Amino acid sequence: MTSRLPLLGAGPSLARVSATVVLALLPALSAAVVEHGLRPVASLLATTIASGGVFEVLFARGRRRPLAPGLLPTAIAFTLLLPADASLPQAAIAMAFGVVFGREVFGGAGFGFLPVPAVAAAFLHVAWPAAAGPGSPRLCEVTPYTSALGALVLLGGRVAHVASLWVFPTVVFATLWRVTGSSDVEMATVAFGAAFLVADPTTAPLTTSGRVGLGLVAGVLVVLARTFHPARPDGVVLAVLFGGVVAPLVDHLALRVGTWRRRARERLRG
Amino acid sequence: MLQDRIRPGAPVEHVAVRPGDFPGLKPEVLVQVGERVRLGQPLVRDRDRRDVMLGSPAAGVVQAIHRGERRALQSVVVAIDHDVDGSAERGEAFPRHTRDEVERLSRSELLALLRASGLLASFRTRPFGRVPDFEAAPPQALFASAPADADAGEAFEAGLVALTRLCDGPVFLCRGRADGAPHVEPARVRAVRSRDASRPELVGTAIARHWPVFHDGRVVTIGAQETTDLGALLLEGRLRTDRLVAVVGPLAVRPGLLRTRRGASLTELLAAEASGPDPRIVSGWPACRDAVTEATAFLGAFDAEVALHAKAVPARREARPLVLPLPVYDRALPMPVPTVPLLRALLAGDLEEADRHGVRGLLEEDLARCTEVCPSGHDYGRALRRVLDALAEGP
Repeated sequence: MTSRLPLLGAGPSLARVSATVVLALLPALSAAVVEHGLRPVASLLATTIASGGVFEVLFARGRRRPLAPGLLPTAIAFTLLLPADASLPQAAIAMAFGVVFGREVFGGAGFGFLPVPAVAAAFLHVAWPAAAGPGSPRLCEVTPYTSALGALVLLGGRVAHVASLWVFPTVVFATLWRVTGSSDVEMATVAFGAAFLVADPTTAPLTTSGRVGLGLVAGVLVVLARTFHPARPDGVVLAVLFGGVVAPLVDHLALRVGTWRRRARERLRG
Repeated sequence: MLQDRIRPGAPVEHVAVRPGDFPGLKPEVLVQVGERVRLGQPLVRDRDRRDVMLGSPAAGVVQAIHRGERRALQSVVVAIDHDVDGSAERGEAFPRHTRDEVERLSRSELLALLRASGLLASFRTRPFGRVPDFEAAPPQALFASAPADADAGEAFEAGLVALTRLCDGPVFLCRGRADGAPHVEPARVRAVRSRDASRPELVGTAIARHWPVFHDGRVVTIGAQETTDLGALLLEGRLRTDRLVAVVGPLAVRPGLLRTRRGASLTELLAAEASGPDPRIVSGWPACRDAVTEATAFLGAFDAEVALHAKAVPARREARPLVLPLPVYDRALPMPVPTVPLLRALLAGDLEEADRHGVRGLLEEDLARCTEVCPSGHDYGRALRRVLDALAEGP
């Protein structure tokens, strides 16, 4: 039988990509609600959505472009990186900083190279060191299994590469398990960072080498931070940001090697 | 079996050549409206390369010469004169050859025949997808596709043999599991099969695997039906007009293979094939082309499928960020090129970057799948054509 359409099916729309990420975030979000109660989580989430939304709308107006989907996953991911006792103004300002300097200054979604939730969380960390200190756990620090489930959703929905997902947590788990015997709760941020920061579909590296490089750099940095500075077990966000800065360089080198290999293959044939 | 699925298409009254199917061709029309033409008589010639011409797909009368924006030639339409078209004197007679004579043909004899018959335009080069110049730039290798049906047998085989005379390098035959190509390939023909046995080898991926042309390679490709045309021309001394075309799409009443003729009018051919009124017709791989207009509603020169869609819904303007690094793109372009960086370079029109990422190995059809799956709704075929044309013009 000839099929009606000789196609393997169309790809996901942008809205579906972002819906898949939201779906993947739901287990972690639910765990945060169960742990900390609905009220604080809901009010933080509403604040980040409103604050990010205002700036996305402003920039979309200014550029005369339609609004790009992707605010919701960013807002949820950033909310889960917030400490449970963060104040609403802190959340609003950090989210606005993340959206403007992590995404819009580069030209909007898809143009930046650093995950927006990580930029916003790093801003919070620098602006109010006490608020993001060791005494106040992040909302996502409940269990790593919710993020692992989210990672499976991302894989199933084909919005993340396998290489983005496994390298970072593997480096951390394999090393820290032996050195300090980390607990589930400590690992929760690592798993969350792997699934929703490293594998963020709008800012992930372009080549497999870049994805592995980002995971390796971030993983090694997290391990170093935990080993030499055990009082602040919170290197994940900064490690991912640093890895994100290195990844484009790795991408660039990998692309050069690819060009060189194709040329070599052409010369050797025949 | 495939043979059972082939059925005759509705008879057509009009055929046409569409110079737009040949990138880089600067068309000069050689006929006037109302003029009587024979089968194979040159209708259009390339201003820059006088040996490249597009012959009439039928004997009849020139009915219309359609021009589009900035007077770009869209099509030359011929109304078929069935009295002449069915008779012996419908077209130019060419010398007949036996199979042994085909094997001994010289390249210059063969090229003269290709030029005179217009079949030279059945070949395409990689890079750039243009009509090859076998003398100025002899190809390093030649890639032919295997036919879907077996009735072409003898003519196809003769065509294959002729191909080995045209190219000093290897001739690759891209085969599927059950195709109509000969069981034993002629000498100097290398059969290649796809890794996935259920699908025929696509020319683009075959080239990438067996004779990569990502940077400075130079190969020529020819379709199965065109190889059969060449064989029929050599054996029988006549121009073959048959074409097999797959009718697909959501509105296709009976999806399958139709037997029709070169350049057939799609409105006439598909009148009874669509389930809805006023379908949107696309000649060629559905995702990589625009719907045909009145002036271009004819089977394209290299098209083996036509798609019937519901009338186009005006597309909602979507936010168009850059190409996101999603796994869908890598699966859509199974070639050793970095997909997302290449697609980004194409959209940005960055020639150097695209060249570095192996753009010379690709033609529009290779990127059809990327256009289909793209969440941001970009048309990569068009972007690729702009980049290839700019690269072909040189600095």
